[in-house]
Amino acid sequence: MKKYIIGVLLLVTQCFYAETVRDTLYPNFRQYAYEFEDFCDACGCSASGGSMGFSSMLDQNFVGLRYMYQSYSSREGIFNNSPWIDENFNTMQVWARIPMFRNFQVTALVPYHFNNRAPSTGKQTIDGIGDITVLGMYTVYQTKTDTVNYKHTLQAGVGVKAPTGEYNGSNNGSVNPSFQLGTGSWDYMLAAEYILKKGNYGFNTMLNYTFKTENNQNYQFGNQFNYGGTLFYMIKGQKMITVPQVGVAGEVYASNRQYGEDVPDTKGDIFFAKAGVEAGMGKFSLGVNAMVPMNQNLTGGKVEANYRLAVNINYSL
Amino acid sequence: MKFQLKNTIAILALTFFFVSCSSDDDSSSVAEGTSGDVELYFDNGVNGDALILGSTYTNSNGESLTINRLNYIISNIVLIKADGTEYTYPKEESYFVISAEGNLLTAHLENVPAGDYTQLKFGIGVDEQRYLQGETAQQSFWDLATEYNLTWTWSTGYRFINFEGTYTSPEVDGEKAFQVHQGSNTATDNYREVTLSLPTTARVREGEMPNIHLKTDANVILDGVNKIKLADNINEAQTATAIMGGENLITIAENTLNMFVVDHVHNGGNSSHED
Repeated sequence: MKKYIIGVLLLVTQCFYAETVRDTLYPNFRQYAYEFEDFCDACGCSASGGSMGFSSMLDQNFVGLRYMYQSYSSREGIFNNSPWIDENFNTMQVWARIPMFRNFQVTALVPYHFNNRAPSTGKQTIDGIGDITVLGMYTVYQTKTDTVNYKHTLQAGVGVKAPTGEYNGSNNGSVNPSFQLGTGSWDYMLAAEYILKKGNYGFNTMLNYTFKTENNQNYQFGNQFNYGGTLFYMIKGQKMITVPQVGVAGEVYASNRQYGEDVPDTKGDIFFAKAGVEAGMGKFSLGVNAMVPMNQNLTGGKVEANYRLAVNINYSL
Repeated sequence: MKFQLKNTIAILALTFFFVSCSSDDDSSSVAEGTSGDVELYFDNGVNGDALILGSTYTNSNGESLTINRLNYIISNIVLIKADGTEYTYPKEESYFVISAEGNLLTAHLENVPAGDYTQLKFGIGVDEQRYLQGETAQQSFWDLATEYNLTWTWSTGYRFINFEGTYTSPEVDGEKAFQVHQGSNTATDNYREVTLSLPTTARVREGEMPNIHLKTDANVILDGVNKIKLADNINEAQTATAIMGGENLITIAENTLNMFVVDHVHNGGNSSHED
């Protein structure tokens, strides 16, 4: 496990180092560009991004710190009148998006989770490092000229999520099977993102699909499809730029599997409305973001997402 | 710059190298001659809700029952594999009391041959064959059953289900006590067996105990495929209802065929059920 952590950390630091050089070579490389990707795992438990988004609204390249909170309610027990318990998923995450070479960027997420819930058997807390995600995005198409009205950017990429977060099979009772720090598995993802801009307006759409594998406790979280669309507007002040944005996001989960068998009531889907704002000043930017479910059917109705909040501070590279 | 890039690529390659090293141990194989434990957990409910002794609910007969006691006997457990082969738990060990008031909710089986089981069969109550083996053959279980009010006298035998409380009905004045004591008698053998399919395989391995989580519905005793009104069976003094014999027991026996369902199976654990 340590090997993995060191490997990924090396990769991240390596990128930083390379970037300090690059920034001076391409002073115009840093530009205000809205980008928004969604990544979430298994109803947020071992969430890398909890569908809260994955990259900055303002800066294409950055390193930052993000706090995310996800509120869930889970039914404890098998009966209609079984009590609902609150589950709180907190994540402090180091996140970065770094250009490696021309048209290719690497995004890294290093989460630390501190989650709690209070079932009848007593309060449970789990905390520790979560699953580290590294994602490479290649710019397939980008409008080159500055004179056209509409500017398009299309990116596609692949990523990997390492099982750096602990998966504990005994947390897997009738209550939310996603009360974990990680999936315990190597997971792979495909991602695509399309950004359309006209003047100060922009629209971002994203799709990604995560293939999850069986962990060493013979549990396999269901593959996951995420999608999202966000409308944003850039208000450019003298010293500050503000980007309010609204959108929708969704997640679709396939059934979890254990010993190769589908686990009943583990597939599901959820659809969110979201809103947020980010403000940038100089090299720093500050963002807040909220998501509220409009429609959901998670784990056979035994888990309900209430809302998600995120606050981040970024330093653009 | 170039050197940095090379390094990055090397590390990327390394990352993917680690990625490709996933374990492929085959966990589905069964080692011959090994055995493990199985736990049946009976989660007592009534009409979809959790059974809480002392709380009141209304059944489809229009009667409101306050259940104060739900004890029953589970016996003759058989585990069945997908290919139909059966494992019958040793008969002398295969009698269990489940009691809401006593918080006796599990039947723990030991030394079950390792395998993947897909069905569960058990009896409700005590079979004639066992009963006829006589009192000394089953003294310790008789004593346990007596402790949980699951016996009459030896000559009249076991109560398979003891379901008691109070009720109100539009047809009687005020609150009355009720007692439903299911069992066999000289006229009829009311012991029944049920076969339940498991939603997922129960994996029995050495050191790996499946937990079969059953949902018991006490409502069906009186309000199942057949309906029995407590008010219709009130005693002549109009003070209480006691159902302990006759046709009603045959009716109840049929109702209880639908009293149990397997809600889910926990695999891979090695501890008792917590939720």
